[in-house]
Formats: sequence, C-alpha cells, structure tokens
Amino acid sequence: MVEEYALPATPEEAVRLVADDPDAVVMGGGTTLMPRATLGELNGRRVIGLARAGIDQVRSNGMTTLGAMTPLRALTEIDDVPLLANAARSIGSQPLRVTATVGGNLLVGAPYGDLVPALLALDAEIGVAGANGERRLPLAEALEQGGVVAPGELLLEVAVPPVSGATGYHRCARREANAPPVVAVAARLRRDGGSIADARVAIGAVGSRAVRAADAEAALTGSAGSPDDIDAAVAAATAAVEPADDSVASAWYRARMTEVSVRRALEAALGEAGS
Amino acid sequence: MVAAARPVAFELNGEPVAVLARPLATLQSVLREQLGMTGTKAGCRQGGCGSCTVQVDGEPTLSCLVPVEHVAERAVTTIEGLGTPEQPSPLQEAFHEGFATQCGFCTPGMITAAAALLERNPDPSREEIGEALAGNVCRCTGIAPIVAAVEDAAARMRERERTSA
Repeated sequence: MVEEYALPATPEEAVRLVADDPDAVVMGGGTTLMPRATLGELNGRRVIGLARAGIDQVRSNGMTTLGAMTPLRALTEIDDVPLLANAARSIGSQPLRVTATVGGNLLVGAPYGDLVPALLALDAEIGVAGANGERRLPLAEALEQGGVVAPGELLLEVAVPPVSGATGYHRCARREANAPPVVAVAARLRRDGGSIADARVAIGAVGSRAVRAADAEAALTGSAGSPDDIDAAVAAATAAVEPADDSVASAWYRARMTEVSVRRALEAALGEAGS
Repeated sequence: MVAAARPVAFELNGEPVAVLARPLATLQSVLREQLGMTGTKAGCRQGGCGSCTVQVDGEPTLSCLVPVEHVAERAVTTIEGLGTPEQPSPLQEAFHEGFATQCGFCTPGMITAAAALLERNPDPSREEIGEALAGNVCRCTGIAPIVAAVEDAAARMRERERTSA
C-alpha cells in the first residue's frame, strides 16, 4: 500500500529523490498508475510524483525540447512540428490529453506509446539524469538497449531536431478517439531531386517496444518512391514487428493493420513531399 | 501501517475548501465522499468513460486520474458549480428540454466537458463538439440529442450575449 506521495518542487529535487530511492514508483500524469492505486494494486511504499517538478515546458532553441511532464495537450499546439501535433491529437480524448504526458507515453509500454514512433521518426534525443549526472542519447539507441531509464534514473526531457523532410503519421485503433492503439506508424522522407535521400519508418504500440524498420528505410532510400517501392517498404516494415496478442487486438489483426498503417503513413509523407 | 493523511486546500465552485486526504486519493473520491459533490460520477475509474469530468482551471479533466494533491491552490468546477435547479446554465436547460439525458449518468461529465468547449469556442461545429465529447461515453447511445443540445446551448448563449450587448 502506498504510504507516501512525494511531490518534489524542482528538477534537481526530483532527480535526487529518485536516485536516493530506486525502489520508489515514479509517477507522471498518473493516467495508468492512478487506476491501479484506486484499486489498491499499486505496489510500492513510496510514490514520487513529477507534477510540480518544473519539467513540463516546451522550449524552442533550434531543437524543440519537450519536458518529460509536458501534457499531450501542449503538443497538439506545436505548429512547426506537425508530426508531433498529429500524433498527440490522435491519442485519447481532450480531457485525457490534459493529464497524459510525453514522458508517460514514452515509458508506459504496451499497448500504449503511440507517440513513440513519431519521436523515433524525428530522430529525437532523450535527456536522463541520475546519481552520476545527466546523459543524453538518441531515443532509438535507448530503446534498442531495452529501456529508456535505469532504476534510480529520471527522464527529464525529449529533444527533437528541426524537421528535415516531409512526415506522415497513421494510428489504427478500434475507435477513432478514446481507444488504445492497435498500431501507430510514423514516416519521414527527405527528397533530393527525383529520389528519396533519407527515410525513417517507425512503428509503435504493436509489440513490446517501438522500432525503426531499418529494412523498410533501406528500401526507400535512393528509390523514387514509386508504388513498387512503397510495396517493398510495406513488406519490409511488416516483417520488422512482432505483433502482440492482447485485449486490444490479436496479433493477426495487428500484423494486417501494420501493413495498412505503414502504407498510409508513407502515402501521407509522399503527399506532403509532393511526389 | 496506515498512511498519513495530508491537508489539501483548493477552490471548489468559487469557494475555498480544505480536506485531509490519504496519499493518491483521487479528486473524484474526495469530491464525492468527503465533500458530498455526488454530481461528479464514479464510472470506470480508469479514465475511459468521462463521467467524472470536472474542470480544473477551466480545463476539462478526468477527476478519477488526478490525485487531489495536484489541484492544491487551483480552481475546480463541478456540475454543481455550473448551475442550480432554480438557475440552470444554458447547457443544463438545453439538455433538459432536448431530453439529452436519458439515464443521466453521463450527463454531468458531458455538460462539464461541453461547458469548457463553449467557453473557448462559442460557435463550435458538430465535428468540434464530437471531438470535445469523444472522451465521454453515453451507454444509452443518446449521442445525437446530446450533440444537438450542445448546439442549442451555444445558440442560446450567443443570443443572450447579443441581446445583453
């Protein structure tokens, strides 16, 4: 049973509390932890909440830097990164987006995490702090290593570089709003003359973690983005995921919707690029 | 060991209130069980149904997901703060007259979310109303009269604004 809810008032205090008590439960907006607390199923003596830690701001200084506690609602208003705004707008409902946060969406795991492919497609970096100071690393690298933060560490921010190229996002869910994703796909394509010079295809909310589909990116890079090239990329991307079976969707349905969603995200990006 | 309760002070429907709350007590449970504000419903208690929607500093918020500590020194508005049986708000009038209520369980959340929408957008399209209410579930499937009532209320509010100007 939870005996204490600590609310640090600064980023430094939050980092220190988490570093000093690696067993504590760290809570962001609370959209997934609060229902468990209400049911008495949140195991942990102490919960450290980040609501007042002062890490909820969006800053633009070349990079677009999102504090880990930035509500998804604030992302829907970022005009110069439409991929982030589109992804955020597709998540939950307006009241949920007031409470749900960027860091929470990144850390919560399956079947959520619908923002993560957008962050991957944008080459986002994360800033993490712990007892040994701060470190910054590409989000893709952190996910490949199997975890964004280690015990005793705190995710402070996510930084997105200026967007190079055209982007597309497609999220499949069983209802248009207020439903967890079956799969979410983000694409970014940079054209140089007649061909695609650089491609990102990222898929989330489909298996245990979000992935970049390297083979699909390779199939697109150097291609003209023709219907055949899209077919090849869709096949490669679908092969890159291990769809989960859960209460949201079966693995079979997730695989089919991955195919559809990758195609739609790529078509949206190609449409924006003016193919 | 019993967790220690902590004092939390906030503004409720324009009046200051203070409660003693155990760690991670939801705003919803404090409103209903400690402050007697039972207009805010307890439905799914996991952020999925919208029946517990209140406004926090004017933003529609799911009170089942929010520890009461998070609203310290902030302003909370519940359905009770939007109007009374004697002096209903335009939304309450429109829901009542348009029979947008049926069983009534989702009504407080619908009206609280719709009130936040009309505050920032006095003339919303049907699509914008749908978006604003997408987090609120009506199991009577009375969505069409609910959307119509929000349109009706918006028209009443614009008319009152025009005639009082």
